[in-house]
Amino acid sequence: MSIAFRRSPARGRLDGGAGFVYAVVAVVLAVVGGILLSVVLDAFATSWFGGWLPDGYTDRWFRAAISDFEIPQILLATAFITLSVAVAGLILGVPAAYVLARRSFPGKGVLQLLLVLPLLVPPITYGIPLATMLYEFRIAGTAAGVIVANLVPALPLVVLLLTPFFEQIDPNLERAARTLGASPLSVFTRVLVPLAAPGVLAAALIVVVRTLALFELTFLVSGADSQTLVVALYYAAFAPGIRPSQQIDAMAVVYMATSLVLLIAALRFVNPTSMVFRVRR
Amino acid sequence: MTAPAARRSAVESGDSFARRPRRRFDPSLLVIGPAVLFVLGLFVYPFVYGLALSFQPYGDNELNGPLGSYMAFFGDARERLSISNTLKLAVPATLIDVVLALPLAYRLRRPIPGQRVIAALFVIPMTLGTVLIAEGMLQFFGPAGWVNKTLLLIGVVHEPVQFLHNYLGTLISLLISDFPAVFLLLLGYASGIDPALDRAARTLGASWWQRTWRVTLPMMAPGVAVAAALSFVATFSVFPSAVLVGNPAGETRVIAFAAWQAAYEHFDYSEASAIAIVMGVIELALVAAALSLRAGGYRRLRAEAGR
Amino acid sequence: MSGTAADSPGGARREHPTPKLKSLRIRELTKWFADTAAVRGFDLEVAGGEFISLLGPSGCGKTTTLNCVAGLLEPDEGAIEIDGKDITRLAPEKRGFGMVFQNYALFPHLTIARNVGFGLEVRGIARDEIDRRTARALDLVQLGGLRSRYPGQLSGGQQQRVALARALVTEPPLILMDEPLSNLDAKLRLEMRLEIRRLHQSLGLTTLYVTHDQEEALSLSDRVVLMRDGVVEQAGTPEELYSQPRSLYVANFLGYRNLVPVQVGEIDGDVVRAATNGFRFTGTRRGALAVGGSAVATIRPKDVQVLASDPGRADTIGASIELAEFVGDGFEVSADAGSGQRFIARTVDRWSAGDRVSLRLPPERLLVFPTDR
Repeated sequence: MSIAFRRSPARGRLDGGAGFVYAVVAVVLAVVGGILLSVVLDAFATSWFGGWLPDGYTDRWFRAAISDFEIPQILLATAFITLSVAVAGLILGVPAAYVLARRSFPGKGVLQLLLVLPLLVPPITYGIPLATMLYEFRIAGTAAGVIVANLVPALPLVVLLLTPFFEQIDPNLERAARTLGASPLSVFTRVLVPLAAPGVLAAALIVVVRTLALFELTFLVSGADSQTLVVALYYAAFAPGIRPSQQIDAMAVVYMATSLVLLIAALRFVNPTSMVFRVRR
Repeated sequence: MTAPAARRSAVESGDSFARRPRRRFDPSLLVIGPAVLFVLGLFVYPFVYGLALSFQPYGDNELNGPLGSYMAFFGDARERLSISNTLKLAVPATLIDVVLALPLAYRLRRPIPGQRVIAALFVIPMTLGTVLIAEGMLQFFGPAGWVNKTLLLIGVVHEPVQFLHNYLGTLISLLISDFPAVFLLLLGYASGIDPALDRAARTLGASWWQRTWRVTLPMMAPGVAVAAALSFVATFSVFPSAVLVGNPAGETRVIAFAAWQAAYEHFDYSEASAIAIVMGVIELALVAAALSLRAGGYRRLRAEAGR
Repeated sequence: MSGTAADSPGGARREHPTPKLKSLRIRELTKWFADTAAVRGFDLEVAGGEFISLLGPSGCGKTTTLNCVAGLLEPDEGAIEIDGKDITRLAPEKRGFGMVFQNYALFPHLTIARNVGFGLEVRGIARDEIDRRTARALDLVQLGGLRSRYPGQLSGGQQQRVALARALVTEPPLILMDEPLSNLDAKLRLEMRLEIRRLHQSLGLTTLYVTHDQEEALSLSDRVVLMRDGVVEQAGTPEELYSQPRSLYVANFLGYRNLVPVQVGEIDGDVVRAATNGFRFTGTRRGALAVGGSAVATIRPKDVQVLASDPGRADTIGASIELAEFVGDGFEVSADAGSGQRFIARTVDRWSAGDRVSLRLPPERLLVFPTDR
């Protein structure tokens, strides 16, 4: 295109559009920010009886939550589960993404749709039959069961993220390596792996972040020892025992912090819009 | 090379690399096998399993034959109500989110300052998930929370509004959780529209309204349909918000909750599967419709010159 | 009164309908982007029926100027007048000009017929008249049978013709074209060039055409405006620019590919003697030169005479052929004259690498310019 400069519309129409955008964004951020802020403040509050701000500040709720909710164990379990899901997702998904990126074969379109389908159906819908099945096979209630269940949406996500990524690695690089004498295995380890590493790492991070937030599947399948943070938070909020909101919010803060730290790590690698199921043009 | 060119080249070259006479097939394709098997075994099969289970009703329902579980669900007024409860939440949530996100995405075809920051900020509620949003709402939207305080301060209301443990709370929670995804999806579509089209329409004499009505909206229609369909599928399956900030015994007894109750409180796995199948059928039908709309829409919109 | 050959500048020799436009005046047009002036002080007067090209490399301001005329950009200074009426701040949708975009900008969700009829539809014209005029426009560009297809189903050349038809159907007083041929392959480009000129003449259009291709500009236009970094470098008929380039930049842009930095020796009216590296030149002065100052001598490859080697001859330069490239109607050779000085020449004779030759640079063809800023 011949455009060398940014083009502006002829004036005569005030750009209220931008103003509208900022307004909506401000409202959304005010609500979300308000929610998060009030959670954080409450978690540090001695008590908060109805004023605009807490009556005082303390950290004792964190200590209470840590022992009461067994947060260290849950964090461990969460870390173990999410990392396992990421690793398993990569093991299954990376080869699949590579084949889809490089090869063409009859039925490829159907396969691609199949591999992406779990992302299009909400987890609770397939979660119930899946959980029933896993209970039948007696894997449910264990960490293994939770990992398997969470793998169902994680694998398609890996494939969806990495297929375009592999497509963009110039195939001539692999061919050049072959002509220079590298065996297929060498090509893989010396050319593909280094080039693919950032994308693979990013995909792993995204899987971890999404698995962390994924409530329904873990909720349906987990046992006492295999809860992730988000499920524990749900139980804490919903549990029949009367717990002070501060303690629950302390746990929420732990969850938020974990999630946001991972998100920031992921955002350094990835454009924010690819974290949603993005319908490619 | 550009991404589409690289993709084409990759596929073409891969083909020539892997090309064998039709009868033999490339063993390297097997590498995709485990993934396919996994999806078949742990996604497709559970539906089959669940389908079979749904035709094996438990207890009293057995008397009605294989459709006993379905009849129990559709026959019981309270159970049936869960469908309308869910629709009353899902339809407004999707509509409001799409209607709100559309002009936003439309305007953002042309960049505004700070838009990467905005996109990043939108990812936060998506990352944190529905449980945290709902849990946080307990504080923020509570009777003594900041929202009510502000409303009282401004004088819009004279006593705190009951946002929690009812329909309103669940709806708000859905709106917040769903909006970023809808917005980002629509933004993707909007930014795919060639800005030269608007310029061309101007030089042809079309006013702002004529351009919006005749060019922009028709071109965004497939995207909007897809976003609406996917959003509806997500809101239709609402669960934790309906429990935490809703009234799961009453007006926000959603269909997902009914399925959960059947499985985990009544231990009637047949009925639970039946309900899940009903949900799945509705959702898969919508997804199929959305995908076909997208494919159809794109067949006409593809291959604009020079792109 | 119908337009005749005598009325139209550029010397078209056949009759064509009276142009709808009487005059387009652009005065002192200036447009800034951040702190760079994309266009500065642009002046142009266009008479009805003229075909004007804005020529130059990317970034020279030609597209910006076109967009200002279209109303898609608002100039910071200056004015644009149509038939005496000031339209500088008028919205593009009210100007009624036709515009053809580089990537055609066809509406992908509308059929060809509806694309072409779009400008008529938004004006609220009656359906049967829209159909009639659309059909006529499509016939004009020889695409009558494709009215129900969609742009995505058409080839690049066909899409370009649809874009043309769409701009023409509203019978605008002025047509603006933004590098419409640059996305086409060479053969198609030549065909469409003829089409565009033919339509311009037969419909009595007034056309403002943007291109970076000098051959296109020279062959299509009644006048050419060569731009550089936002200002007009030279404006005139194609012949004027071709044989009397006013500056080194214009010369170089229009095919004077041999450039030799020289020291000015003697100036005698328009004749200049200059030297460099032991070579002596006699050329024609263009612009203000000072004795002893630096200048640049330049000559077209086809004006360089490649003669059999004749070391004794005073007005030639000895050189040896480096490369000889067959270009269809002759050869393009690169001749090395020593001391790092090379000349590119066009000749019909066949030479081989290594041949010794004598190059004659006719003084009336060798232009000597002041050094470019």
